Amino acid sequence: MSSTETAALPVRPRWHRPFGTVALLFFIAAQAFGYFATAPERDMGNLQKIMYVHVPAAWIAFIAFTVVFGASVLYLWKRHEKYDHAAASAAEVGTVLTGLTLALGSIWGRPTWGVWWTWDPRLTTTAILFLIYLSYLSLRAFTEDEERRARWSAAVGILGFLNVPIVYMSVRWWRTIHQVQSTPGTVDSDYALALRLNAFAFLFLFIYFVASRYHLARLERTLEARREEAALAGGPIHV
Amino acid sequence: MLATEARRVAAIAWKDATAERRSKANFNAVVFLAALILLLFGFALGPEVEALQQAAGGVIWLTVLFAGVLSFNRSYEQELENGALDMLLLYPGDRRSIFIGKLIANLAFVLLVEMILLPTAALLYDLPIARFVVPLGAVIALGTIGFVTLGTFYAAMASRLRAREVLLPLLLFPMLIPLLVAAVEATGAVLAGDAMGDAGAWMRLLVVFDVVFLVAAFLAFEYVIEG
Amino acid sequence: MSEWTYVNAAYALTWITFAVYAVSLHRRRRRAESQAAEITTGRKRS
Repeated sequence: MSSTETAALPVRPRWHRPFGTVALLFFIAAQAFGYFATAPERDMGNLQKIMYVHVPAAWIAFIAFTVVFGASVLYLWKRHEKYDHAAASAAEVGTVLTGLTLALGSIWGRPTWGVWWTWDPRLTTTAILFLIYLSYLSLRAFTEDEERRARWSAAVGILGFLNVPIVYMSVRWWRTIHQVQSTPGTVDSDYALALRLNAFAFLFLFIYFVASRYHLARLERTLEARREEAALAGGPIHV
Repeated sequence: MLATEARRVAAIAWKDATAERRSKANFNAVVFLAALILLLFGFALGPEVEALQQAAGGVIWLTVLFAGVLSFNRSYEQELENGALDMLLLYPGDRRSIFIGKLIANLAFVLLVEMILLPTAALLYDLPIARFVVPLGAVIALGTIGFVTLGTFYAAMASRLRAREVLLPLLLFPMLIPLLVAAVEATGAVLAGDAMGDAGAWMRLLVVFDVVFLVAAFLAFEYVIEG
Repeated sequence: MSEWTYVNAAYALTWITFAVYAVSLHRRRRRAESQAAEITTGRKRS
């Protein structure tokens, strides 16, 4: 990529900042509603409120992985780096959300069942998803060549996604075979509104963060390209 | 032509299986390590025989995983060292036959290790493997196929990176969890005499796992073996 | 520990996680931008 003009740095799309502001306000509103405006639940009391962060985080963690899958397929098909940027962005945000989901699950589990961890199928599948995310990010961290990194991550992302339903089925079955108590349902229908609001709030934040991370990926790509140019241009002796 | 591809597969499998890296010394080392791991588990979980027998399925499969994972990176090392991989890729013909060839060679290797490992485990933990040799053989075969399929696949990438020893387990083990659960449950059921009860159901899960990832890895291999 | 301790911990963790991540992204973006600018000013073609 040789040019006499340095390409301009990519800029964030115009919708990004206003969208972020709206997303933040919506998030605050949804969280406040869940925290203050809902009544204590029959069995769980005020602990129910933890569901308004734990469940949306879990949903978005899985949606993020679906985005990673889609972007990975698109990358292998079209070979355009924008799909790799999208996959990497969704993976990073998804990892954060998955880790959060697990921590929140612990915080909910402790007062509810007295333990910090249960081998609940959904929670266990989330833990395995977290590991798959981490292995995806590790692979990216250790692969320096951009094209190879994009190709390899895409393959790993696709296979990882295919495994999620298999993991869930096997863990659920495993628990049934050993006749372990299944964990009680998490959400009463009366509380669906607060949950739905927070789910959208998390989704908007997800979109905002992925767009930010995507922009960062483009910046880093530009940076890399400039470094290559400079290395090629800046030879030791000028005529 | 299918015949040409089959010949390619056979050639690669044979080359891998007999190559210097696959020498007897290497095989012996892996077998020795596997036996050592079995012994360590014995110390960690025993000496009550009941406890060991309860945990036998888990111990056997974890031993297979820990010892087996060492063999996958090795199967690419030889080509990487002398640039033979690039040469191999220059030849016309499906990348997939490279995958199947290596898969078969790795499968043979791990199965051979297991054939020594199982009697050793039976000895240490007093397991009735002779009585249930057929169903046990089926479980071992199904579990090993899935393990080797994914191991061969991920090693194509990990073997070419600096942190290959840690990166291969990091990529491989989370993916193997359903296989581990199913194989351990099936093995435990078989050894307890419940040959067609739970074991059958878990073996069906193993078949699903094997088919899904054999196909997926087969299709995706060309994207990871290239440069 | 009352229920509210856990609820507050959960909400606090959520907010802090998002805040830290946002700050991290911001800092990485600034670093990339300044590094890219440096390279440009460093090589002037005549």
